[in-house]
Amino acid sequence: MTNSADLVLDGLARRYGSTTAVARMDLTVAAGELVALLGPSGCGKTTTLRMVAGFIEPSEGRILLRGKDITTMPAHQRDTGMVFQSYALFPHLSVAENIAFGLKRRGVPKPEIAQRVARMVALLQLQGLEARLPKQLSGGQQQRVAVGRALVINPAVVLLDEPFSNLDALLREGTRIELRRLQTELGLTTLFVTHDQAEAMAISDRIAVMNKGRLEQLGTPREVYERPATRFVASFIGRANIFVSRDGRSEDGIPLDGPEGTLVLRPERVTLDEAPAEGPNAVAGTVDLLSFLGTGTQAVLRLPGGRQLLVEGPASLADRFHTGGPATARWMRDDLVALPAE
Amino acid sequence: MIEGARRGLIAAGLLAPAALVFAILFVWPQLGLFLQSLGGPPTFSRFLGDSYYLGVLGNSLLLGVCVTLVTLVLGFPLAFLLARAETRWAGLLLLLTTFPLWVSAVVRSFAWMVLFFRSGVASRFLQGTGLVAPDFQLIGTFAGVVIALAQVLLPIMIVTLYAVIRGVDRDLEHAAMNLGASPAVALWLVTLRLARGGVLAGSLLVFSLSVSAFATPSLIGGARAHFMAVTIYEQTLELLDWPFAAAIAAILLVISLSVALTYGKLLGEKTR
Ligand SMILES: Nc1ncnc2c1ncn2[C@@H]1O[C@H](COP(=O)(O)OP(=O)(O)O)[C@@H](O)[C@H]1O
Ligand SMILES: [Mg+2]
Repeated sequence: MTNSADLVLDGLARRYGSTTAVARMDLTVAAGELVALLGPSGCGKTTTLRMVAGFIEPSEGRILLRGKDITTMPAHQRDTGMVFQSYALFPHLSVAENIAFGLKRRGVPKPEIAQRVARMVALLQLQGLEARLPKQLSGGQQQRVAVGRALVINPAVVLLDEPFSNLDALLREGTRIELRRLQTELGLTTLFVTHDQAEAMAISDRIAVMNKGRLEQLGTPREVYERPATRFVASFIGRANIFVSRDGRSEDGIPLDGPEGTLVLRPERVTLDEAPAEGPNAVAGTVDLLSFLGTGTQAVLRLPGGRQLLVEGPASLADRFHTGGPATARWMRDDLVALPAE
Repeated sequence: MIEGARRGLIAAGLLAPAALVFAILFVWPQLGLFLQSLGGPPTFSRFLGDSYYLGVLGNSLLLGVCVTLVTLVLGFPLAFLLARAETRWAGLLLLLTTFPLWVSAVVRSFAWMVLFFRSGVASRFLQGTGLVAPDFQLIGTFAGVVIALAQVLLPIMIVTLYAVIRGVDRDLEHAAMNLGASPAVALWLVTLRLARGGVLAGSLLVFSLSVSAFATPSLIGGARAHFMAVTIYEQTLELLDWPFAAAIAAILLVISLSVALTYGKLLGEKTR
């Protein structure tokens, strides 16, 4: 890979009094790459994004954009295009004027402004809405105007703060696919904030998992899912059964054949049958819950030690087992993934 | 249908007390005042045909404009800073700015008089700059009245602007800056545009209070205080020409009302 680094966060930190919103964060976004900042609410995603945009001053560290140190540069001189969570469309300006705002500030000649706005309007399927005010648009349309306004200036990096959180589920999925298509076609370097792991998995090149202001893991969606670096990452990205294995047994006495230490077992790796549990990597329990999800069935197995084991299997699970009945869970040695020692 | 009628009744019920008080205490006396102005020799033509009285009207309007501009220029930055301050103290600071309103106009004017006499600090300062004559005093000048009135009306401007600026989402300024607008341009193109309603409302309040002010103009302006309210006072209590005083009052009311209506229209246009 000879991809140049477009955006570099170098030990970036922000404190508010005694609380640390973001703790010494190192992150590199390559040209044309989409990196998701993923984490629960309050973990410092927005603070990170706003430091890049220049609205919040870092307490420590540096920000490099295309090799230039922009840490102390005023927001309006940075070449970033931000899409706000609440869109922040100018309520007194029409759709076309909103999109043209950044071009005007840059002194782009009028005919070119008209041309670029028209192209953006077409790209985002906003034709016919140019003269409307933001309040006369649906949520999805407002969201597209916000995206268009940020993209039309060709920023060095696009910053998106939970851009889909105000859309309903159906629209959200379509919109994120559209955005990903646009981002790849235009080769936009993008930093994308979300608390929704499915969303991050679906559209990112890499995911930066944050927790309590700290970057816990940075990797491709598959890496963070298949080889989580911490217990937090394992349970935040997808669902996980976590064992602490010592001398071939978990902390609650389940015989395990696998590595020692903290182990992650994904629910879809567990199979259920009626045979008795014998040997390691098998445990009998009682079915607590069976929920049919359409694509499959999710089961919760209560084990003698009190643990609730998560299982995901084919839809037929719902026919073979019933709530309150017995079942035996099994998995393979390779399904137990060890977390690096903490 | 029935629902609509009920709502109309409720609305009427809610409006009735205020409307009643307004009618008894404002409309009726104003009508009486207007009728009184018609009694005796022609009063309106006397006012409108006399360059002295037209000058008084002009003075009052100019006073209104000047005080409005001064309070706007001084008040906006302060209101903006208070509205954008990320501190719990902002509310207390706002309360502090309203202190001039808590002091009686007479007491406040006396204080200004002390500063404005020839030997007063404010006059001395101006003499020191060499821009005015050595025996200059602010007392009795138009500028003195503007300063004293602006001081008491500034809080009204600040409180009005503060509320409106608080209502402008800060991210709109951020968005403007993100798109390349300097903070000043963002303020001009976004915040000021959206706070226009507040600017107009604050200006309207300050303007109408300035043109009808009595205590401050008469105390600070002294014998040369040729302002509407002072003239009404003279006609009523010194010259006992009540019909003419009533006519001046009616003219002042009409001017204030037409300003209010014009402002109201501008406000309406803002919310297209
Ligand atoms: N202006 C502020 N003053 C004090 N604390 C703040 C401020 N802004 C954010 N924080 C704190 O910093 C942390 C991170 O906030 P934020 O970046 O908004 O989280 P996220 O976007 O991931 O939900 C939170 O604990 C929040 O309470
Ligand atoms: Mg956030």
